[in-house]
Amino acid sequence: MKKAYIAAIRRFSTPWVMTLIMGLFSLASVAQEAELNENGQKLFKSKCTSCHAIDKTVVGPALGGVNERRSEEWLISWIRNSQEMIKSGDAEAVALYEEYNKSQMTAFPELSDDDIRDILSYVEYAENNQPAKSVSVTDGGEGVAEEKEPSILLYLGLLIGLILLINLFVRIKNNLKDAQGLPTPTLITSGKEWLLANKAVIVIMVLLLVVGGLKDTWDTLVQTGVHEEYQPTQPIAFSHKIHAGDNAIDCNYCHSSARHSKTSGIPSANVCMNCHKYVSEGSITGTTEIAKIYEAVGFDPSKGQYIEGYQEKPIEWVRIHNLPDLAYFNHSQHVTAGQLECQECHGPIEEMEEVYQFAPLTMGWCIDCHREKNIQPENGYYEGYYEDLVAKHNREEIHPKDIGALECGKCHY
Amino acid sequence: MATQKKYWKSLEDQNGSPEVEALKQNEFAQPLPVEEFLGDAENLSATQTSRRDFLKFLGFSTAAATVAACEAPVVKSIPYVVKPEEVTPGVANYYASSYFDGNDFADVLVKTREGRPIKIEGNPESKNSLGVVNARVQGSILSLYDSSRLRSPMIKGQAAGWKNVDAEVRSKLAEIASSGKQITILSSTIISPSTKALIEEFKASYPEGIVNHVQMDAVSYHGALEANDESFGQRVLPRYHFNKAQVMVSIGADFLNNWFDGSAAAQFAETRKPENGKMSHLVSFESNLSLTGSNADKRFMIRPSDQGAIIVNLYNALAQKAGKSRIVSRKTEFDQAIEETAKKLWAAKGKSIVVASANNKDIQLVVNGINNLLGNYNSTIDLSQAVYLRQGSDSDMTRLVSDMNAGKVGALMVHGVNPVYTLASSKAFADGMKKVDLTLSTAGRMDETSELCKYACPANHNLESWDDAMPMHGSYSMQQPTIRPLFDTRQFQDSLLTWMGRDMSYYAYMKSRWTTLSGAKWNKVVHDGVFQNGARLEVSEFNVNLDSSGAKAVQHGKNGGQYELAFYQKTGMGIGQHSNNPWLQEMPDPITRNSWDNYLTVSPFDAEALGIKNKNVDNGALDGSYVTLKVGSLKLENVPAFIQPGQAKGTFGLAYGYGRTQAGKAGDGVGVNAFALVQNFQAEAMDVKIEVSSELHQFAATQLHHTMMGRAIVKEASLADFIKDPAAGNPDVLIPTHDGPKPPNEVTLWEEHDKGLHFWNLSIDLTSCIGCGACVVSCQVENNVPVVGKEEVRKSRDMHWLRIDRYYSSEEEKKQEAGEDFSYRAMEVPSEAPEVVFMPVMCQHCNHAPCETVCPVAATTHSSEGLNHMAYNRCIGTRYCANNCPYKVRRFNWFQYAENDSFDFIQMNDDLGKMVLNPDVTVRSRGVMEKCSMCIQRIQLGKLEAKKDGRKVEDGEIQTACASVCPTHAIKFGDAHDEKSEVAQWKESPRTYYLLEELNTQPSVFYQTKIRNKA
Repeated sequence: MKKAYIAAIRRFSTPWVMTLIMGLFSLASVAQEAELNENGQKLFKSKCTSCHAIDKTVVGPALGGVNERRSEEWLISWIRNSQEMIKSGDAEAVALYEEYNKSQMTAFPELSDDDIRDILSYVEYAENNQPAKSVSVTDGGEGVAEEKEPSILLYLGLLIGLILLINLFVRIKNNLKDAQGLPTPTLITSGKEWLLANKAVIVIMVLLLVVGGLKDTWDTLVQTGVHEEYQPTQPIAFSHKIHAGDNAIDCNYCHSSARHSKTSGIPSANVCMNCHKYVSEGSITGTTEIAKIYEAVGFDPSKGQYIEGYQEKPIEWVRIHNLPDLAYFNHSQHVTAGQLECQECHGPIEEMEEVYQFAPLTMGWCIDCHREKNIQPENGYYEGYYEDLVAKHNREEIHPKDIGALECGKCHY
Repeated sequence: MATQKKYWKSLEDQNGSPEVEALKQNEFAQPLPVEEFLGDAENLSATQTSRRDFLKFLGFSTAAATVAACEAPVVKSIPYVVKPEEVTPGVANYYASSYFDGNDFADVLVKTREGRPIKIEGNPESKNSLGVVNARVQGSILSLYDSSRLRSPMIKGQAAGWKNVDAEVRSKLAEIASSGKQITILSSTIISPSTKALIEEFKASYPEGIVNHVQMDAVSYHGALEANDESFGQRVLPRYHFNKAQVMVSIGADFLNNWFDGSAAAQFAETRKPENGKMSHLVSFESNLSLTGSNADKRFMIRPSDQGAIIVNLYNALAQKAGKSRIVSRKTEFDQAIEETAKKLWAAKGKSIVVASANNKDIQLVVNGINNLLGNYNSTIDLSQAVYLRQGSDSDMTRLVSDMNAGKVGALMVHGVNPVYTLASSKAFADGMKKVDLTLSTAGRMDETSELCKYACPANHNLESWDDAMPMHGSYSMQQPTIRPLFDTRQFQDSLLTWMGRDMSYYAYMKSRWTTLSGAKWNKVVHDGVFQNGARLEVSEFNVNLDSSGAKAVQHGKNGGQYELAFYQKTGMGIGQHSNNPWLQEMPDPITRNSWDNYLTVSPFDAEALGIKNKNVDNGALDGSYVTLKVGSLKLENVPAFIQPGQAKGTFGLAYGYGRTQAGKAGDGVGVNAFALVQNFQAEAMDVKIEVSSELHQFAATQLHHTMMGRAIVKEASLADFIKDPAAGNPDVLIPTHDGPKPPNEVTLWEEHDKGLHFWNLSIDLTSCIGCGACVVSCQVENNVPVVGKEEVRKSRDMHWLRIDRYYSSEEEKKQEAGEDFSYRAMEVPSEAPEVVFMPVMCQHCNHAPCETVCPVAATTHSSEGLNHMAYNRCIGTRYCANNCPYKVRRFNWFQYAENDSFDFIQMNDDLGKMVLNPDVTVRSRGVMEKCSMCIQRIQLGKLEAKKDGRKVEDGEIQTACASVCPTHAIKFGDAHDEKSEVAQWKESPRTYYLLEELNTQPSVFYQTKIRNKA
């Protein structure tokens, strides 16, 4: 037992030591290369990434090695205003312009020379650190997975130890009794005797079982068809956290139907392409997930072009919110007329890596809201009527229930 | 009793048949089979299954179902890859288009959801059809999703690719052309100028005289066309302006229901507004009781063989007033009526219309003469705005049949017609086809004709095709596809272009022609669906000597036998172009209230003489005798006979459009084919022999259930009385109390419901309603109302949310004597010539609703907007509400009609048919009650649109499905709280009354009294 305990501790500590060593190693390796230029990184991400990547051509050329290809002076002038350079007849500039199908690069007059130097320095840094970065990501992942393993083993070991210990004591006790010449009852027979002597325990246990069972049955029945926290795996590991959270894209940009229609509308792949024509690599999954959009619409990211005559392949999302057919729900009613935020029903969607059903979507849940929320008195539809309602109910807040939102036929038809 | 006048629903009702009496006592037509089951004690005790076993099974299945329900299915949500700009999932798009199938024309708006057309309504911009869409045009949307359509071209019944078919057709055409034989395109009337131009180009691509284009109409207007050709130098039909007419006379023409120009009903209704202080006067001479006859102020029952003489006598009566010479004629029994009619017509000179249906040039010439005497041309009848909806030629057809049999025809391309069915009486056509080398049909399904053709080249459905149309001179319509072809089909024009070797689409062909049409902007025309360029047709003056044609007209049908037969078109089925459409099959005939059938209509007098029986059996359903009809050498067996009040003595009526053998699973074998008795394109047979069989036919009648116990349901008054007192025929309903008589709402148990912003009301003007049934189909399409089939209709289980009750009333009124026993039987003196009223009845949305108070689970509740809600998922099916409803408007789902092979009626049973369902309305399940919701999905949508725009709901913005298609605007919907709304104003009308007001149900639906202009 002692051995097992020591082994467990040993296994538990190994990954930590490993991580520590690896961390030190990677720190050391960074120290050897160009230093991370934070201003450059920030500027690069905000100004350059929509058209450029380090290691591949997007709209503009891959930037890896650009410091070797061009002089710093040329680069500063080109980045600030490329069109001017082309007009002035700079041979290098004209050749580049022609090479990339005369697509104009945005001018950045607001950038100072130092800013541009910072960006270039970041490019150099990023170029050297790219492969190392991806390795550390995968290592980290494994590290996390291993961390959980020893704790379970530890508890399991302790449990086995405990059972062995009890067994040991029982044996000692039985041996002692045997030695005294007393009968040695088994666990079962002694348990039976004890129960027969204490009938109240039986009654209480039966009662507990029955009541517990009934409560369980009731809870199960009530929860039938309620799929709160339903979180299916989607065909594309789309992260609402990155899009709606980190990048703060308005929900309505992609789910534009929500304002006009009964359905919020899962965006069609061409909406994704508005951005992902340029953004071909994600921060978590790299290119694998975004490639699935290209697969659907038929886009060749290496050429930056749609493939002609491509047989489009629709993306089969798994529907999370399944309202029964007997209930009519209209998004625009709540989003446009009711001015509700999406999060009121869908929860902290901007924090969800993978979307799950936040609300129970039961009738009670709907009705609660219809009792509590307020209608929009400034809406021209309620002109005159709102004042009547205020007078009738003697309060300023008019709830949907006051205008008939609890009536069956309003949602069931 | 508010009125002494009594209404009766059928002859059985009137005659006091014991079955009807029994039915009146029973709430439900069919008794529950409790006794049958529990009474059999012997069997019950012998059975192996004990009550305990039953409970065990019940418990187990409940538990199993619960467990099974816990697992949620994974639902996929698949968005567009590239979303079309104009499509927003969940929002309907409307496209202006037009519809023409050779029989019905309408400018339409097509409602599409997620790219699926789901409803057809009228285009209000239309000058051609004035926004009218009849039941058939609306129903055509279901034909689009019919799985029995052809899915690819075929050679001799075997599926083949277009490549093979095109190659074979092209080489054969070339062969035939070089052999000098004819190539004939046999089509329905073509109203598309581009298609006509294309056919001309096709003709020109062969040597002169090789290609021949023959147009045929299943119900021919050849006589009228020829008469107009002789009278005015143009072989066209005129545009009638019924809205400008004060006196209208119809001799057999059912212009309100089955007429080449569908807009007539809307025009007619414009003249029937008693509030204007005057109304038009309609006189009808006819054999069958048609919708036009039902709505006539004076109706005379004539024999078809008399129509020529009646028309000539009418001419003579008018000629006398005009000081013109008379035509030699003979006496008829209607001469007195004709004299009176002539007087009325003469008084309304230039503001009258006389129309006749006879497909006879001589009769139509005399009719033209009458209208000319009355100065109606260029006033109420406009030939410069000629209508092109019928162009078929009987003589061309006759020549074609003889050419085919003589072996002169090398190729026959059949497009848009089904001659083997509609010319069923002459086997000559089918025989002739065997002698044609290349036979080809473009029918969208394997119909009677394409079955005999070597090549089936299925054309698209109208909703999948491009086309243009010129239904009226100078007035154009555009037809645009609203869905991509569902199958491997190709529109006829594209086929023609391919066979001509032209490498262009018909769309491009048509568009290039439109760019040359002055004043037309392509995008705008496609958007609007209609375009007028004000062009007028030049016609010559009427100058015809009527002596010889008059003489021939008088002789028309002179050799009539004892019994005569007049063919007609039913509102639902028309000429049978939609035979496989279960909506239209199940739509009850407005007059007979029968569905899923055609039958011989027989007058009560003749029925008695011939021993024809109609009787109610076991569950109240109607059975009737079979008869065999013989016209010359033609014979039609197993024709059910239906006793029809208002049928002229010595005449029978029989509807076209039934007895199809190649229609599809819904239409095959329903009814008998009346075309089998049609001779020489005539809509009458003057000598019919009849044999009555002892066997009985089972009708699916919707007329005897839910009896209203003879109370004052329809209120009516004459125009003269109305002018004296606008509340004529509509006295206040008062309830006797110990404080004296009081209005019902002052004697009430219930408290008022809370009233919100809106108070949705439906107003129905019984004066305007002509009973056409467009609303019934519209309601069915909008609300996913299931089709239940003939057997279930017979059991009174039809599911229509909206029915049009038809009551006959007798002229003679029996006064109730003091102290006399009150007896309906005594009050209702049988009448051979009843007056007819139509009353659309849907859920009345009572504000003191009897149904709401008895529902044990509160599944039916009241809204703050004056509606009676029905929550299907809450209903447990006790049917207490139906029991307690005084209007009998609730419908119970006896079965699950969706996804049930026993009810395989296209709409809900296969993936294709389900595409027609309205996604905003739940498909109800078995065991729940349903009823009219006043199209709450449309109300909610209208309110939402207003809220999104931050404005008030405008009057007229929200329309129920029934109101939106009513050709006569009899049904009006709106918010009664909005004082300016049309409905609020109608609510205050002295003509307004509530159905069964004495019950104080306070409905949100109200009616206006029927006013007749009997003068």
